[in-house]
Amino acid sequence: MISRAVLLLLLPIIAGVSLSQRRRLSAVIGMGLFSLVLAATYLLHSAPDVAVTEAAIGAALVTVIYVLAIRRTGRLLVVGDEVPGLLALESGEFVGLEVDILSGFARRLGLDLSIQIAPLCDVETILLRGDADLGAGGLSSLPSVQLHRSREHLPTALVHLCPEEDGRSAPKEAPASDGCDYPGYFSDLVEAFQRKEPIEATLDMARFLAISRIDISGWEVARLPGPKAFAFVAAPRRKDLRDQLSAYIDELERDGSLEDMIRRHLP
Amino acid sequence: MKRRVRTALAVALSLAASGIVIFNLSAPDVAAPPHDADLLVSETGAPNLVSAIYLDARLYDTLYEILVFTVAVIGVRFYLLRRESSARATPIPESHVLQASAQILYPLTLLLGLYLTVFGHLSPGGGFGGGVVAASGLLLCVMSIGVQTIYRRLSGAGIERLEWALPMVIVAICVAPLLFGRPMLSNLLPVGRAGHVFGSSSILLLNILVGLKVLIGSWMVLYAFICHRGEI
Repeated sequence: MISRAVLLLLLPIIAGVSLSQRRRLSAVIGMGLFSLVLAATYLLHSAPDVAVTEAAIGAALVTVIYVLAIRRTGRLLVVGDEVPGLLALESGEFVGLEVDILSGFARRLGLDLSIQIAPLCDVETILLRGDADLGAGGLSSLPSVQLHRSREHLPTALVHLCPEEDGRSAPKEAPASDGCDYPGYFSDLVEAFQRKEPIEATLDMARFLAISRIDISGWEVARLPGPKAFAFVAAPRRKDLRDQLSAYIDELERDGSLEDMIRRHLP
Repeated sequence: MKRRVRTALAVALSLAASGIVIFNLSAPDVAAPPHDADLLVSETGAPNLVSAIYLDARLYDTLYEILVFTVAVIGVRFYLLRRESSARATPIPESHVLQASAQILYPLTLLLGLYLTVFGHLSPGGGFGGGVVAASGLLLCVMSIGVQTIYRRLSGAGIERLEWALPMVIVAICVAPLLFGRPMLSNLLPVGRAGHVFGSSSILLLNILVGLKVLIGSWMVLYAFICHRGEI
């Protein structure tokens, strides 16, 4: 008798808790729990047949279908290349300024942050294909008109690196792109510099700082004119996401936490 | 030719289904359930009164529940599998913990589903619950082995044809008594000792058919969802 009353009391409580969840996965798990308690209630009210069906359908199958459904919509999918200080993988965890901003933003939206590492030149393709919501990882120029660029969060500048040839200085032509430009992953580029391969690349300050920790004598460094800044870009159909993210960065700047983050990650 | 056979079968199925409705509405006393519980148990041989009601005395309701389920599965297949899935996203890999535990759990879950189905007329359970439990087992199997492997194996076993055939077999079982001069939806198979597994062969047969139908239908729905939305 008491157990019946307890279970019946639990039902509205679980329902209320799962309804008030911001994170979608928690809400779905709450619904599964509700079904399980409901099945126990049926059992105590001598309806074992209904209890079996409720447990199998409500707690198992429906939960699975919901989890499958939110597998993508419940996540904030971010694609970007590794950049020390901004977005880097350290012992299995993402750290950096952009990671801090994005995880705070994802928490506010009730989504799970999921970061995928891709070469800088592929970020645009992945976003245009709709396989990710946001692009990150030190994007200093707008790659495509279809993508939406968010508010900038950190000023930077561009430098051009090219190998010195036999004492003569290499021709100082402006590179074709107006942003950071190199083939493949940034980690590959770092290794190529370590092997002293003669590569030419345009880098922003975050990447340049990482490269300059290696011995770069033998390369000519030229600072390109014009101020640049890092920002995020949103996929073609996610203009709403861009606006929300810009507002969030505004807010971070206003209460001074953006400055703290920058100081913490880029001393 | 194949198309014509299919159309003829579909027309026959819908005619039989509507025929059952018309006959039952015009003759509501056909296969009316006895109001005494003990009488019902001895008449059907199923100690689980619930299954005695929904698979014998009220088979009429269950038949349409099965047809509604069939229509729902057809709808999901039509709307989800027909849609372009060319823009498929990169798969999200399954965690090793989930894979390993699914491998241990799926035989147990499939066995539980089988138990619930076969013993549905003796203890709580039945085709509907058992089928869904078995479908959850199949889902765990998918998590540990991979969806495309399972899909190929099941399709190789002719699961789609079975999906088509099962509702027809169930409707045929409901209509068959007419051939023997008995009212529709009545029990043709002999009733044995109550409480025995084969004590109620018609309910056992229907439970197995319904369980298979629900298992295959749930698998179709889950496969459509997995292919279209997320990936396992």
